[in-house]
Amino acid sequence: MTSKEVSVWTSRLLLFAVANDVRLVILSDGIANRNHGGFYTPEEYAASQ
Amino acid sequence: MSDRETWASRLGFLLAAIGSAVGLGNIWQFPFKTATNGGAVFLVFYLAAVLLIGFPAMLAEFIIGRRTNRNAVDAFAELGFKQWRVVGGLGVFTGFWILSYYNVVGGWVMRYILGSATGAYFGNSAEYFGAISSGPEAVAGQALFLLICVGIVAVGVEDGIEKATKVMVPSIVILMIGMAAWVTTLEGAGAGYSYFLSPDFSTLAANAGDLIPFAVGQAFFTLSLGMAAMITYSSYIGDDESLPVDGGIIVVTNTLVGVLAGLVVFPILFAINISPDTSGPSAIFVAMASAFPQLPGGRLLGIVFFGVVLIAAISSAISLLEVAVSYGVDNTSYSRVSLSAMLGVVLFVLGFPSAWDLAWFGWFDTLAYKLFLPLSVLLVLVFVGWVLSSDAVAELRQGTGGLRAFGPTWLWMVRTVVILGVILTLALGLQTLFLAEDPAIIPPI
Repeated sequence: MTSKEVSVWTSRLLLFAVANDVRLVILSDGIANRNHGGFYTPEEYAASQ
Repeated sequence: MSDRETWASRLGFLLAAIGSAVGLGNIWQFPFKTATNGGAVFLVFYLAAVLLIGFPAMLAEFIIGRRTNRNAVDAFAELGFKQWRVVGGLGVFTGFWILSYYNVVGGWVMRYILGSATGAYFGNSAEYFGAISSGPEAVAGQALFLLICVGIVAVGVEDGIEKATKVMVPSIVILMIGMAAWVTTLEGAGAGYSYFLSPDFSTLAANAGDLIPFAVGQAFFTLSLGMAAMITYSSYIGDDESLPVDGGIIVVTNTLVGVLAGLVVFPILFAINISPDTSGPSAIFVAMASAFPQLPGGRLLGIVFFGVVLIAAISSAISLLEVAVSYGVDNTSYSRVSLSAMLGVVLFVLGFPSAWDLAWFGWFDTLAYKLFLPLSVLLVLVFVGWVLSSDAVAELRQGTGGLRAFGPTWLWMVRTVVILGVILTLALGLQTLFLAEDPAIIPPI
């Protein structure tokens, strides 16, 4: 792999990561501190039952 | 190749490799996965996975690395199989994927050092975790942790990883033993021991789709397999060293630290009346943060404990970052410093969702365990077991002395038990990712 190829692949990965971030910011509402998917504090878990 | 750095000593390699294996994987991820997958049943499957799949798979990665003395991608080309370079590439990508959210946990650990100093979590340890584990504060922690790791890798192998891990690893083990001994004196600890050590197989059939991929994935995660890390590390080992002995030392040390973490975490959780399956990724944090306020010198003990966990986390993170940087140094005109900085930026952007929202954290973690890790290990095993075949056995023989019969047995294991175990793991993982009612492959919104 040449320097140029490494730059290309790094840019692609960065692009994917940026797209992921944009998707998160645009498509989500109330995104901060949503504790779902099993990630509750014990108190929140008890309250959700 | 002549200017490539080498390990200063055999001890240096071993401690660095153990440092790579002993990290958040044992101390944080092991109690987390044990807690969310049924306790002792998970422990049984995890131990079986380490012994029957993890250890032989680690030797497979060692063989590729030492035979070629190259980075994880070019090693395949060096052996004469250029088209297999994609397997090395998948390993590097998997390491990156994992590192992206590993940095977030590193950030949590740093926050807990601060919390120990100020006593911020002394009031309610569970609430504190909920407050700091996602959102802007977690992003800041992730960035700081990443900055430290990038700085160490930019300095280089000799100065960075090797010297640091020589000091780190023994202190982790000693501290965990001390904590485990103290925990035996807690009232209510007995239920924790029984949860962790007495398996209840009655729920196994209903949970196999999660339990098996997470147990096998945990073995890969803690041993740094499927991330190209062990291929890169073993490329620095000399031909006169015994791979099975080196691998055995790493596997045993690594497993003992994980079990020790369980012996500390579960008795505490039961003593403070927190059900393990609700604690998830907070298990180690909540347990420790609940214990320290009860102890004399709790703040200092908290700083020391989370300080050591931070060191362990850094040593593992830099070993993953080193995989990609070593590739770049070997193959491109980029300098070590600029490569480290460039990859640091990519990792920060990739890991941002995991720091911002715990649901995304879970998505990254699930994909790593159920798809990338088993797929990456499976391809390495196919390559070593069928493509390299007798050449792999010959490489394994180098430096083994009295262990000459070990090679053929290992190859037989790889071609039967190991490969079947990994295929089963991947199949169960793919089923929950793609075919379940609520497919886990779809990112949370």
